[in-house]
Amino acid sequence: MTETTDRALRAWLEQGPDRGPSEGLARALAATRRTPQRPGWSFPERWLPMQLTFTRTMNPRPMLFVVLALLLAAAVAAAALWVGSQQRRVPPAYGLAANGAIAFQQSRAIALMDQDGTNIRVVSDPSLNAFGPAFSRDGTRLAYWGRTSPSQPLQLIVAGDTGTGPLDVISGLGARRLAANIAPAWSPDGSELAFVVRGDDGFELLIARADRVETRAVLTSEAKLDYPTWSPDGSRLAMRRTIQDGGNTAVELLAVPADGSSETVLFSNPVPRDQAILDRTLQYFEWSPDGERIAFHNSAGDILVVDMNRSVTPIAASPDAEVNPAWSPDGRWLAFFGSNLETLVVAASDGSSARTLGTRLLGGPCPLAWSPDGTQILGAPFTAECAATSVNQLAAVDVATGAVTRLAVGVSSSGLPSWQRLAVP
Amino acid sequence: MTSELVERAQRGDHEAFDVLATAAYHRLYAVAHRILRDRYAAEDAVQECLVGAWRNIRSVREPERFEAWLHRLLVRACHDEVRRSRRRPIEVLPLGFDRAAPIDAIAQLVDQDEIERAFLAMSVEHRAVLVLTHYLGLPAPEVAAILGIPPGTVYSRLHYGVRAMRDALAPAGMSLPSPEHGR
Repeated sequence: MTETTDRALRAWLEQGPDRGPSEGLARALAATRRTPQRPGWSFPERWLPMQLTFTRTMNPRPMLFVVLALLLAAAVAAAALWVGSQQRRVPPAYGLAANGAIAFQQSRAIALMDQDGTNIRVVSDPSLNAFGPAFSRDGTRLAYWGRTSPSQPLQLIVAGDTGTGPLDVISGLGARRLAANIAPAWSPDGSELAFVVRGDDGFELLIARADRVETRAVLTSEAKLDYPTWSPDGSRLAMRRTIQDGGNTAVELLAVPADGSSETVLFSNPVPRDQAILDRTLQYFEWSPDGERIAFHNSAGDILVVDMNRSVTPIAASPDAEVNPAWSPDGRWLAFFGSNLETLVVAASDGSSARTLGTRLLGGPCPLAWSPDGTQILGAPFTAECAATSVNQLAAVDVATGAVTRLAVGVSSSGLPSWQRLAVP
Repeated sequence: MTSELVERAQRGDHEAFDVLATAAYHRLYAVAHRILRDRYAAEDAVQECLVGAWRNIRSVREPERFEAWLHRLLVRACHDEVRRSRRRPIEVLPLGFDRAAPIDAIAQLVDQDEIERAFLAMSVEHRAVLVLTHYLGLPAPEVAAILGIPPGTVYSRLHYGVRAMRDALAPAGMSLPSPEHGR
């Protein structure tokens, strides 16, 4: 290489910063604090000899080797037995399970509480503004978003179910790139998390690995995408797509395979511009636990169920508005708000045997979540109506009696609570 | 001193690691920025490098080679960063328009952009060799040790890197001269 080239390259490379941002250093150091060290024995370098060739200087002693091998085998078997006995039993991803903790956003932190609202403890990194908690389907891990300040890039953090061992699986998402401040969606097997970002050319459905830093794009759309939700078998994702075409708006329920290879519009809902329920149309849709159907409400305020062949069945279609359907864990029941959004109703999954649990129990048409054991319905003050009328308070309604248990107060208006599933004892 | 800090960090001493990381941070950032040409990607790569260093520090058998090991982790982190962040906009460095006539500044902007494009068209491995050699001024054997490749490969990557940039710049009438063959 000529001297001139060296100088030209050197001069060009000299341009640029010589110092990194000090907050970047602080963030990196904080990340190392959250990272456990690998034990020394787990590195092959510790086991491989420095010199790989040697000359044998003594005769082998077969009996000694046999005894050592037997001892080693016994130690391995004992270790395997011990590890097996320590392994945590986990519930199935769908179906009834025991109730664990409830994760929610309180102020700028992620907190857990017991199901009766007691024992509130913060589990997120105190240096982060955290939101959007979500337990994995087996209840063993907790994911949430966080950033050190509103102007800083977002991190997606996956931790143990009590916040231990947090791992940043995404650490550089621009602050404005998350399409909605909601929790990431866990895949049923707990290996991946789905979420939507706003890109330069529209919206992108991304899937991040839950155990390492690896993200892939599944779908790109000029129209707005939000609320990605995995099918129970993990083969596809459903999401809402809002298409604006001049003065016309259509809200679609879209299903795509997990590799993004195709897309199916399961339901399309043209919405008049002045329709009041527009913002929540198709917002709180939910897969049935068997993965065969999706329940949702349309812009007219009807509860509908659509199957994968795009066949639509009305569940509740009275002249009153009904919204926010939620399947019971065993798939037998649907809870929703009826009678102009004031009553909490539970009906069989085909819409029969509807039963009103009470009126204005949760303050307003909040999103609903069943407890893993199917005995309670959690009302989450996600909407402005709920926040205004129930003093920003989480509450649970007993499905059998309609009795309301007030849980934590001070819950932030963004981020749905997540109820941990545990193995049935 | 560095060796002692590395040994303390290997025993789980966070304060010792903080000292090592703080001492290396700005240098790592400068290298990552030059390889990736993007401040956010560089920041992420350095963070990933330092987290990886803390996590795997017990694998270090020669504490005096800690910084070289750190650079190897950094190049690997840059590689990962490029693989997963292809959609990030490329950061273009601001030019000193006040120090040149406007017409020169525009020409320089075009040139800078062409250099940038040619550089980013290369693999991270090739960029790393150029940066370690021409920015940090490390000799080829040292670069080879950092990257875990033979010195001959360093020379060939240097040769290829400069030739690739020259080829890319030729249509724009740029002036990076041809490297000599058979270094």
